Amino acid sequence: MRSHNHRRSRMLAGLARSLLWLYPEPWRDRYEAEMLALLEDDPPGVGALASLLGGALDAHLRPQRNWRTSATPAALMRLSVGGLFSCWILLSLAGSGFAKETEGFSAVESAHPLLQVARYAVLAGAGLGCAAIAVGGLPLLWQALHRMLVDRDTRLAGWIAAPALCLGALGALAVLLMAVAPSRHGFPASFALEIVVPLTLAMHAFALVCSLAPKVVMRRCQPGVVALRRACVAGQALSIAILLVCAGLLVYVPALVVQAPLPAEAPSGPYGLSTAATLCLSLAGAVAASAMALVASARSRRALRAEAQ
Amino acid sequence: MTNGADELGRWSDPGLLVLCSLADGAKHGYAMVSDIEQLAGVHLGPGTLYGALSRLESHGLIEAAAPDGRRRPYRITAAGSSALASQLRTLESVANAGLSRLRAAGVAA
Repeated sequence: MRSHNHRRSRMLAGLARSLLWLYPEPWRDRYEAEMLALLEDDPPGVGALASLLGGALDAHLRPQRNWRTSATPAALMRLSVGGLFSCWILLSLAGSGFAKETEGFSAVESAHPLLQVARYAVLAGAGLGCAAIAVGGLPLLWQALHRMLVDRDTRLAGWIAAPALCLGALGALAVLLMAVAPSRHGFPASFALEIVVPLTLAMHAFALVCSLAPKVVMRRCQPGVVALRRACVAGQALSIAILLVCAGLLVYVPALVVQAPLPAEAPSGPYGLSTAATLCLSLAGAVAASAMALVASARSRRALRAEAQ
Repeated sequence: MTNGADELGRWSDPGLLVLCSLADGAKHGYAMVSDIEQLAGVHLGPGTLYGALSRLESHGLIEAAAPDGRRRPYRITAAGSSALASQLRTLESVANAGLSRLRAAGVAA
């Protein structure tokens, strides 16, 4: 019993320490050491975890000037670039859902030019985003790999590999669920319970890990200012790409609903419930990613100005 | 800087409790949590405590002292003492008015 309680306390303490990563970087620079000392003195329970989550949200929504202005230009650049990369990862998730669901829609798209234009906008955004990632992100990844090898930093290695590992786990889960679940043509409620809900939860966990990974990696490896400046400039192109993809999806999804309404007799067909749900989720993800990208992009421009001074 | 006394109400209890705790001297995070628990029977979570500390520090009502290892004590400033006194006087008048109304209504208070 005692060892069970000890394990539980250790797990809660580890979770509490992990939740500190959700706070803004300047906040962590100012308060993290004290907070860790407090978590040692006052071992956290479940209530403390909720308090940390609420505190992180509050710190993002209402940044206080005593820690916000203490951030150096390099820290601001790291923060903004990490944020933009996270947005791109979120958008890639949304985009892959969109691409998978609409891969057989060429006939509808050729009949309705608006759909085709919207798809081209999404593809152009995806291409521009990949180019921006290559220009701004690859040098940072190279520096992170170099630092990982030089310092033999296993945690850094774990965070670099985390998105790929999570993607593999997500793929394996999807295959497993599709294999053990009943036929798609069965009762939609069971389909939702057995496949859509667990897969959606897993995708959210994946998105959380993927969006944290760039920030954690850059914080651990502290890349050079030249690479950060280049990444900030590429980040501006990346934010344009994100907005382009979002605009394309904003046109495509309503146009598809208007042009090809959901047939009542085929709730799980090509334009059925699962398609509608996936496209709406993709759209919501793209809008959220765009909103966050706008904030990160503004921060990035501010950081570039501060660094130039 | 904004008037601390005006804004104290908006921060709700955690800010007020922290100021009360610091009124008799500087304390670090855990000392504040323990003191507030004894004082008001409220256990402040770490996120709530540091949210309040951050806002109070930003408004100049408390200031950080030199760190003691990883633990950093905070102390109340003159503006913080004044804001706390003003807020407590308001609370006192509300409490007195409420108690006298209860007594007038014949409820034991």
